Amino acid sequence: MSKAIAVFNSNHDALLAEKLLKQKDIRVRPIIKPRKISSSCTLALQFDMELSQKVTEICLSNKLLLAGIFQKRNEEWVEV
Amino acid sequence: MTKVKSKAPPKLSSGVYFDNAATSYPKPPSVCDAINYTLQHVGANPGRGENALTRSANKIIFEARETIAEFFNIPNSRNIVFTSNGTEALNLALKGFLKPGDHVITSGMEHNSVIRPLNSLKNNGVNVTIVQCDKQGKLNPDDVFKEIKENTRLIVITHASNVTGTILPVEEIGEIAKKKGIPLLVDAAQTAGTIPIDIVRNNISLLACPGHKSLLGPQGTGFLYISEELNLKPLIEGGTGSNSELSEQPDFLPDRFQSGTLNSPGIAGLKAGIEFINKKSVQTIKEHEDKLSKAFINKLKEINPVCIYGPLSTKEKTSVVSFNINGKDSAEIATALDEKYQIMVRVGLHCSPYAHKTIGTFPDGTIRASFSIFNTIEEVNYFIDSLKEIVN
Repeated sequence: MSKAIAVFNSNHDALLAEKLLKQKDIRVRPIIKPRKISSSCTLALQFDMELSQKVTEICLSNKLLLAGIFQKRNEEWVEV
Repeated sequence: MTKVKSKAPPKLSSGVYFDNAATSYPKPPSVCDAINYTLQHVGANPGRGENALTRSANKIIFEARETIAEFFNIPNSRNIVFTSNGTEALNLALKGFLKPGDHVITSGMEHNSVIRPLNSLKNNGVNVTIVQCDKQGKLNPDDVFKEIKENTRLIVITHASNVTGTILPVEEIGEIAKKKGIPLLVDAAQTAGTIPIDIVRNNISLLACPGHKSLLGPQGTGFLYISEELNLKPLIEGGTGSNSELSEQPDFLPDRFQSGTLNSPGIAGLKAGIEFINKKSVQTIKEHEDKLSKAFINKLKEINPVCIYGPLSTKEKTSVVSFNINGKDSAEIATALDEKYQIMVRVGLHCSPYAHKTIGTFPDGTIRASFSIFNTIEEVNYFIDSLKEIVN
């Protein structure tokens, strides 16, 4: 299944997103934020691509500092 | 002096500790365990990199923020900034928010952690009004209202005096602040953990708390809650693990105010302290401390000639009791209590000269006893018996 990642400005918001998404039974995997997207040491959350709209909605409704949802296409990270 | 070991109650091998207003001791075993576990098993630097240990460290910091947020009804845990104590939190709030030309109102019962930063700001063009309290340290909210000017940008008050225990009317002042659109900064050093504090209900925009007093965490911990609506300038800038490619400090919370490596073991201990309070309940802790204060005050009254400062009713105070024995040097009494009876109290001005001026004990100060959930009625009785021996 195709995967996407949610990237946040701060670690705090990434962890809050992880908590809120898990509460909604959305499986997420914390990963190191890809260097091509940002050189920050913060984490990103990986999830099934088909859930990207739901993930975005949950993040925005909770006023999380979501930097974007990205997908890897031909070795490039593309914001979706 | 000869130690009277046989008379010491068996609770603590180190003696009877009645200086919990300075820092609480002992801590719950779960606090010590959390600190120890973090040091031994979660050594990584939170927010720096992403590996198994860093994730565990991140989780500790995140969960501590969530625990604090729930405890004080803070809508978003992002707005909690960890500091090394309450004083640092107050300095960040005052120096980060006030600008030259601003007017700030405070009370006559404040600790130097408020008075000294305000004095420094005064030298930089901030106008400061200190509203007088009565002899018991009580503050009339109307007196605060009367001092509000067009350029009043902040009201800062302590929730309770560290000298007399007098509880100040935070709720009423919060109402005034809300009505006039002025942010309220509360110094909760003496109340967080023993009196319920609700950020939303009390209209608090900034809350400064030490972690090592009634929240039962270790020394070196504290935090500042900053309302989403306020724009503060950071006092410390540097590495945050976020926006690393930029030379500028991030503009989002908590990173804007959270540079440098955090005290993860201490923060883990603070979280465990709040969890301990949640299990017991704030009300149970207050009731226990009230019982000790009431017994202490009643027995103290039997000693002549004693002068007790501040309100005597536990409804109006925290478990801090300040007193003097007329005609006796308070320092000599405290020394005798310590050396002969292994009873530890605090004597002097308690870093609050304004409060002592208010209650009429400046510059000599008072003897202060302050209790925690771990003190017992036996210790109170032992204190009174020891004091009677000293006085006689």
